[in-house]
Amino acid sequence: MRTASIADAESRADTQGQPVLETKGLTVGFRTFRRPPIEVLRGLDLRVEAGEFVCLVGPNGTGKSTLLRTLAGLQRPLRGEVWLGGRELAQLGRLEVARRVSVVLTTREDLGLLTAYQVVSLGRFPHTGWVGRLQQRDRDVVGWAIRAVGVQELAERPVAELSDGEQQRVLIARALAQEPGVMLLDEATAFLDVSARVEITSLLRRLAREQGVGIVLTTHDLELALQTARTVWLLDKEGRLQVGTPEELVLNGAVAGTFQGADLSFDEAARSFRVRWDGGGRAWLWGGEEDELGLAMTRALLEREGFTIVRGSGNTRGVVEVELRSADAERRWVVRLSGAKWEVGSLGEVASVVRGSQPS
Amino acid sequence: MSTDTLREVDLHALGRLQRRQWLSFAGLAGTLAVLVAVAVAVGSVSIPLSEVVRIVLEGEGARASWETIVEQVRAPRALTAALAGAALGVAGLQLQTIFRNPLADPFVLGINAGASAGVAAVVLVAGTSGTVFAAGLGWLGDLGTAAAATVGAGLVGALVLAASLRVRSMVTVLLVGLMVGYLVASLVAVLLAISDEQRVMQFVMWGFGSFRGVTWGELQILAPAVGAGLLIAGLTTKQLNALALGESYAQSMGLHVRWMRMITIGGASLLAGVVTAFAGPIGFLGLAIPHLARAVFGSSDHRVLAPAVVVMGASVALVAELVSQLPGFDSVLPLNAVTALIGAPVVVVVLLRSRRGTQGFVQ
Repeated sequence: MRTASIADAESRADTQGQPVLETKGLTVGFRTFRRPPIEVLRGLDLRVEAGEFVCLVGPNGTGKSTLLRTLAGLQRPLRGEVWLGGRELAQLGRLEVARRVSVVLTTREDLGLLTAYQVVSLGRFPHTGWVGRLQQRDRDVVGWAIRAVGVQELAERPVAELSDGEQQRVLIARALAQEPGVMLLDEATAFLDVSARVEITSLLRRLAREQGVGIVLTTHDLELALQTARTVWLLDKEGRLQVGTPEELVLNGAVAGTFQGADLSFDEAARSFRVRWDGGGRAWLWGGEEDELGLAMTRALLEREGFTIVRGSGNTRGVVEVELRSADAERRWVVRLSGAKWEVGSLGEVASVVRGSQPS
Repeated sequence: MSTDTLREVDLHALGRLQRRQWLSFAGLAGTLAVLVAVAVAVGSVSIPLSEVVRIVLEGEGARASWETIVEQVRAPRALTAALAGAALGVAGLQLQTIFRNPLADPFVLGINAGASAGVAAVVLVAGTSGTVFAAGLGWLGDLGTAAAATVGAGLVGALVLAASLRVRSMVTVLLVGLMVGYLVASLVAVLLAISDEQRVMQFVMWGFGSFRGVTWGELQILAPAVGAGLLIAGLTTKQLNALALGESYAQSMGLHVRWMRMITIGGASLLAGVVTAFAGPIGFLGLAIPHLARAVFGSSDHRVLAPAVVVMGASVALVAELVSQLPGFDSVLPLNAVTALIGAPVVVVVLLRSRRGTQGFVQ
């Protein structure tokens, strides 16, 4: 029996590429009493393969959670179909659905005295009999899920005592123990600090690849999504959903188009956002040969202070000139403005000098 | 690799009931047996222990009156107390879990209000018109009171149940129960205001709660009803556990959430309603017993908690009954006063002293 779970894991990896979740003309939204239903997203044709890690990104209120809940069978589609592992969701019994799809939700419940092991074994619900007694195979799967997520050391501890990141890992292990074809996670990284967020996201990517489970994660963290997801589902404010590899969506301008605003610009090459803050000043930056980092940070400082970086040629009236001199791991900056000249040894001093030059 | 195998063994052991929990359970069961014996042996009339044993084992004693006391008074009283304690504890456990609220008890559903309205209707209104229900309404023990209480509790229970199937949020259900409770209680207050003093007194006495005066005939209704309620709870421990993460998670694992609400509220109403019908509105046990069980057993697993609450509830109810009859005195204290008077400090001490208790407070 011990080896059974390992064999299972191998067969899971073999299923890579098979569709575990598909939608056909899916329209999601809310049913209301006596009034026509509110449609949030229309006519979606989506597909998740075994082993695929998908990030669903989009601004707040675009219907990410509604879509996820519908895919999980927690609410009924307004129109169209959801297919799980080759069967239509509407034709499946509750337990059959639960054996095909599992979730990690945003709801935070007080778990009282339940240990991590007990929480993970809750995932066996759709597999066990009426009494919920764990058989040998159930215990094997629970052990496998705990190890796959790396929470062996936490197994005996009450979940309430764990940190947010650890709790999230335990909940992911629970979802895994349900042995689904596809796992859906709603904002699973939202409450976490940066390092925990990165850890959880890479864990999900690893789980998808190694365990052959399809994973869909809704997230606000676009930059992390672009770096880790195999596929991105990008929802814009008009409810349009674009699907593609992260690079594809950056290249065709979909990412910038969705998130860019008056104060935010998307730096395509860096796959990250910049706060746009136009203070009206112009700056000419030069020097810094072979000191890319020094040059980049000087540029970042000037931009943050509201300067537009201009080329040196042309009209230099009213332009702040900043020269970076790097030598032997020592940096000096020379700032020139309307005839005056300052030579300083730190970016902080550069900041105070140029701040004075800003048109108020 | 060897450490990994070790971990595996540990993990597998975790899936089973802990040895400490078995010991706690055995200890409690022993305590319960002793308490039942004491409840049969002790009372306001002193009967030699040897006689009590003879009556229990052989069915006859030195005096006929002793036989009557042991067989018709003490034995049904002990059984009623045990059944009521178990029933109220389990109902409280079920409701705390499905409402996800540590303050939930059988009476948040308005069940005691419904039952007292039923009793008020019989004692205060029907009594004045001289129906059969009113005949011989001295203490409780009259099946008429019980029937009225059951109907009242059942009506309120059904109303809350209907609400639970309509609304999405369990908090709304909780509020509906409380509102219905207030509504019905105010109706009772109106009835009390227009009734004569003697009947009001009878109603007040019923409100004290008591395990006394329940006959073997009535136990033939009480026992199967409690048995059925306990069975419902016992058969849904897996489902109650699944609710630990909230209704959405439970649904995602394949639980039919509305069906579960119906079963659980229905079962808890049955348990609390039938106990209230025969023993009056007994407070405190339904709220406190589940918390005590969590603290003692250090578990939130309903497969452990359900049997623990049965044994613990029965034991605490028996202790309360023994204390209320003040051995050596003629008078009897109101049961509700005793349960809270002894119980509240005990629960506070247990919860404060036990790290586990304060953590397990919720859920």
